[in-house]
Amino acid sequence: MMAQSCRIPNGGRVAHDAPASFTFDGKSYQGLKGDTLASALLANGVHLVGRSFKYHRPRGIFAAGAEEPNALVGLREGARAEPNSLATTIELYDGLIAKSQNNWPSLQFDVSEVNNLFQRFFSAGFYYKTFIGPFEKSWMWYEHIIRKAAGMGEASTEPDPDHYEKVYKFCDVLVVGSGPAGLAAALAAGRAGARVLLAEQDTELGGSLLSAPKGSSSDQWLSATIGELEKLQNVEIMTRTFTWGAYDHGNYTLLEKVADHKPQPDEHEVRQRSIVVQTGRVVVATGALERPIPFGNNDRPGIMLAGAARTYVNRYGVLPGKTAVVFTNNDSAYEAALDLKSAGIDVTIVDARAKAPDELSTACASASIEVMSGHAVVGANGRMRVTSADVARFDTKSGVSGDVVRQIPCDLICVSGGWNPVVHLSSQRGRKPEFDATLAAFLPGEAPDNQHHAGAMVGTFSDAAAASSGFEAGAEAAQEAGASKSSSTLSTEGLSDAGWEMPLVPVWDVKPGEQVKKRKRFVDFQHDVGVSDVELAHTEGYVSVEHLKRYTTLGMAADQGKTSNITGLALMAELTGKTIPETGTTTFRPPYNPVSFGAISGQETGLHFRPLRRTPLHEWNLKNGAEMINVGAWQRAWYYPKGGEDVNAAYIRETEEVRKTCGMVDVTTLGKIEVQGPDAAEFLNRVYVNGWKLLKPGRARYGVMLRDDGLVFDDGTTSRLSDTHYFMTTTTAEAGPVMAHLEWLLQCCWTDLKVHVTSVTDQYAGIAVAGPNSRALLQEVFADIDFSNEEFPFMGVRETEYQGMPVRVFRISFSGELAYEVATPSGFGEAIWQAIYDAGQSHGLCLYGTEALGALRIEKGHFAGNEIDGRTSIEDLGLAKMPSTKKQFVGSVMRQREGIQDENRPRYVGLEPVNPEERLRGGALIHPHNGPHAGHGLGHVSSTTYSPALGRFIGLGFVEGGLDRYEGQLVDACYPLKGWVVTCKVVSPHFYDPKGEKQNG
Amino acid sequence: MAEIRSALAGIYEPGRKGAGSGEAPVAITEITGRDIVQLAAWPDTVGAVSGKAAKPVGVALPSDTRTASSKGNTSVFKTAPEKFLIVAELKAAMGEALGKAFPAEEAVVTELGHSRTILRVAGAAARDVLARGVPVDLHPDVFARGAFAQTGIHGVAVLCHRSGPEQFDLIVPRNFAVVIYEWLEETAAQFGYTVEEAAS
Repeated sequence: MMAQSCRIPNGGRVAHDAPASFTFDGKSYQGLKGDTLASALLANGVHLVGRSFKYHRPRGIFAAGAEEPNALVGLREGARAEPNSLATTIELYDGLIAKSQNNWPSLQFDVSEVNNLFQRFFSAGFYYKTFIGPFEKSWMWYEHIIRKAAGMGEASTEPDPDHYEKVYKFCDVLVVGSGPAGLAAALAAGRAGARVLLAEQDTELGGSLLSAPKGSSSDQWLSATIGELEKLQNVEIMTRTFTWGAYDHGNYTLLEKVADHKPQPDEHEVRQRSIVVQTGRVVVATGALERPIPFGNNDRPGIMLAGAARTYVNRYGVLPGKTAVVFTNNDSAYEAALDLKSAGIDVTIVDARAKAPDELSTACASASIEVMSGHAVVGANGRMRVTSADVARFDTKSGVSGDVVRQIPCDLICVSGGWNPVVHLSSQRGRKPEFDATLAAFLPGEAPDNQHHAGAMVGTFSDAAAASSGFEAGAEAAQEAGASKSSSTLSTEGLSDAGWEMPLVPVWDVKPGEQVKKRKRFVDFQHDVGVSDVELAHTEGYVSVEHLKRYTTLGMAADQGKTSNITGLALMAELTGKTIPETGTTTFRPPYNPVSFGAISGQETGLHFRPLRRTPLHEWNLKNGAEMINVGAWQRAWYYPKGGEDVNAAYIRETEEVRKTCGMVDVTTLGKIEVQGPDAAEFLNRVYVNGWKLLKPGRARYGVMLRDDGLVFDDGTTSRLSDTHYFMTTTTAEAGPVMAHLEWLLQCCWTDLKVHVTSVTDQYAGIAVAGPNSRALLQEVFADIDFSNEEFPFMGVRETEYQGMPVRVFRISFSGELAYEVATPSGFGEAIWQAIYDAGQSHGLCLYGTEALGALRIEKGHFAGNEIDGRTSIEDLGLAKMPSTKKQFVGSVMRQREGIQDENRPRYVGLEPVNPEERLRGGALIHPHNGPHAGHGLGHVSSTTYSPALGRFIGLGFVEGGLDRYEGQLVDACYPLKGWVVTCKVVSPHFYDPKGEKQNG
Repeated sequence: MAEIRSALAGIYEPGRKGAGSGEAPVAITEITGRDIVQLAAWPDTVGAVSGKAAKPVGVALPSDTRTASSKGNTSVFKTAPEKFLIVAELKAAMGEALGKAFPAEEAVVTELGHSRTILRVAGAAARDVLARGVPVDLHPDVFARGAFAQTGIHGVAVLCHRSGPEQFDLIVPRNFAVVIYEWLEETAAQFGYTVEEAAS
């Protein structure tokens, strides 16, 4: 292991007594606690960290925070491997493993760098222009090869072993950012008594103050402020938490990186936490990001933002080079230059302005820093690391350089083109940023909805002024949110009030003079977009910024153009001869930083992807060998295999046994609704197509509901328990929608009806007992009820108790057999089920699941969800005589529409394959026999099964004109995906006991 | 009376679980032995019904939909303009008593005791656990003792009632009780928790 060759002894704010070992591309290094991966690599003299997206150019560390466009690495290994992690925000931990991306066979020697030689061909739109021809399907043919070559990093294909979660938080004032403005805002709001949430993406509070030399006077202000904040019970401070989205009604989304700074989360700890905050007011104090100036080969390792170099020196105690050229158009870089110089780096300043302010010139002179005013860096030399900078005379008015006047040997070029306020959260709320010519930057404009803006994000760059603006914003926000205490006053003692020379002279590009070597000048490093690409887009007629962005992909990488957007925009403005405000700006959308899918899904993965609904018989079913199937949110018993049966063998046996002796099935999932009140009968009369007023207590009736548009909504059996109390059942699938529909009718349409509806699906367990022996079996269990046909006819309802447990028995049938449904409160469900099961052993009782349930109902010709699919009318389903003509009901008008009454609509039929062994497929299209098998056909097959009763496959479906036109005729059921054609005879859908002698007997 | 089988039977397992050791900051308890009855009046009777019901219920019915009235083991929640959800001890036979007290012209009574499972989440970190599922501000200044909200956890409709300073009762649909119980266990694990013996 090498010593940290570029570490300043005892320098910076890192813990020199806490070393941490890590590997990069398999090589071991050492860093310190408090380092980022980037600062630790720089401490070891490693600048080359990756290859670029398109040209595979060597790239280094460019920034010191979330705006980093270059230093994307693969973090961790195996299931925890995470591509495209920012080296500049990864906290170093002992044992960290990272590797470079986008290179083969190695970072030093990457074969694909040949792309760089052909870069004039790889310009904007290259792939589309080149591969769209020469023949029609060229693009489709080339696309997969191109896609394979594209992309950065590789995600793990293993399941993520870590946990994530979501948290809801509430606060009066959310403060985003903890630089001088954010801290002061939190302090003002906290003192006022507001509930404050202070969110900082960094590991430490302080923002830009952390980049000042250790021991600066601002350190005292920082520790005093943090000290006071920590004492305030109403202030919650969150570090490692970035605010990524601003939404309606003060809703903000944050991401807390709980355990990203560890090799793996501790036991029971989540890796990341997604936070949704309902805010009263928000103080946005997100600071500003430095922007680069494009010059030749400005992407070489060893070139970084001036502010970043200062951060590496002051915060991390790292020397990013030995000899530096600082290229700037503004005062801020002088601060960096002076700090670099004090740390022992030789510095030359190249200032594009004709003259630097006297004060700065004097300071530089006394620090022995040479300042070359009226000059620019036109190109960088060196490939894997900068070796020298070509400096030429430069006129900010023309933007074109003169000849190279000097080649300054250096291993570091620091660049500053000014600062871009981080206006994202304001822009996300739909506020268009406004261009400020003095600052040559976009400001957020008037703060939208509940936001207040402060500090560098509104262009207030001096620490003291930023803090004051934050304090004022925090106090106002707290008052608006209802806090009443005084915020008192803010001390800014220790904070610098140094300003910068204004107006800023913008330098958007350094165009090389005629004698200067032409080299690529990058704007968007992450997507390899250069000045020439913007020029090309202009040449090809692109005018809109939005089009420019999409054509060149500028600003569309994972960094969302944090360092490149404004420059790209300014270049476009220059080319089109418009001003920047005329050219416009792009809109920022969430997320501010990339957010992992894990954090967004939280706990909703695997079994908990959605809530699972269990019947009261769930456990019994599992214990008794049921195979389960998901039906909507429910899990139901599918079949009960015996002796290694598969589903087909099991359901055929179960179906046969039900018809021969009897069987029982869990039907708890059917929707159950209590309908109560003096007007209950009138209400049912209005929602069902048939009449309900004459139904007597103790009797049940089958009913069909229509939607407003006249098509069938749902069906079920509803019983009258007393004059004012009905018990409605719905299908499993439509239970929720029916309940919502009924509530809507009562609350919005018929407010005069005294009726309440209450879902009791969870209150009762439902058990269906079907088959010729069901009467004898239930008579044995519920001895108090007389089960004789005379006393308890079809559609009768009886109530009794079983060992103190209340039971309702309904004589209804879905199978076509003599059958009953038993309902009991859920907590008694298993006991009643067990009692019937035990008694049933001497009656040949079998258990059956949903598959046999389906087979039985298809044999009987009962339609279900497959047939009530939202497209069928009541006539289509063969129940033309059912709707009452004596009353109005929901859908009664709209069902009269011509299209719905058309006799040629596909109508309900049964289908028998001519070859009884041949299986029908649900969804098959029905075409004329031997006729053209084209188009939509005559209808479709909706349900199919093997029918043990008939010894053949059968199906239900819809055919134009129905039985009237096709009964007895042949049609072809076609399954075009597989090329299957099954010839069927059209028959009545009531295959089994069409007269109902069994169920009624 | 026959024994009511808990929706959590076979799943519910008392013990000290999750992070840390010693006294856990979260306790999860299934509350059994309760009956739940809905009393639903009509727009023109709700005032009179509220007054008349106080005697059989044993506590004055609440007038707003955000705060429960409670006395002993009885709590009443106004869940809609004319609807009250009454949680009481089983032995009070509340459904029967109210059914006798009110003809349908005044109010209707619906038995819901078997349709819900009551899970109590208590302790210093109870609020932190619930904040991971309930999108409601549970800060004591906003959601004081007695406050309730008809809200949701993990996509399931849940009534959340602050029944003590650091105690919340969740009234959960029975058929989703296992899901919510599993969710609570999973969420509380990071704090450390105990599952207490079911209590009545």
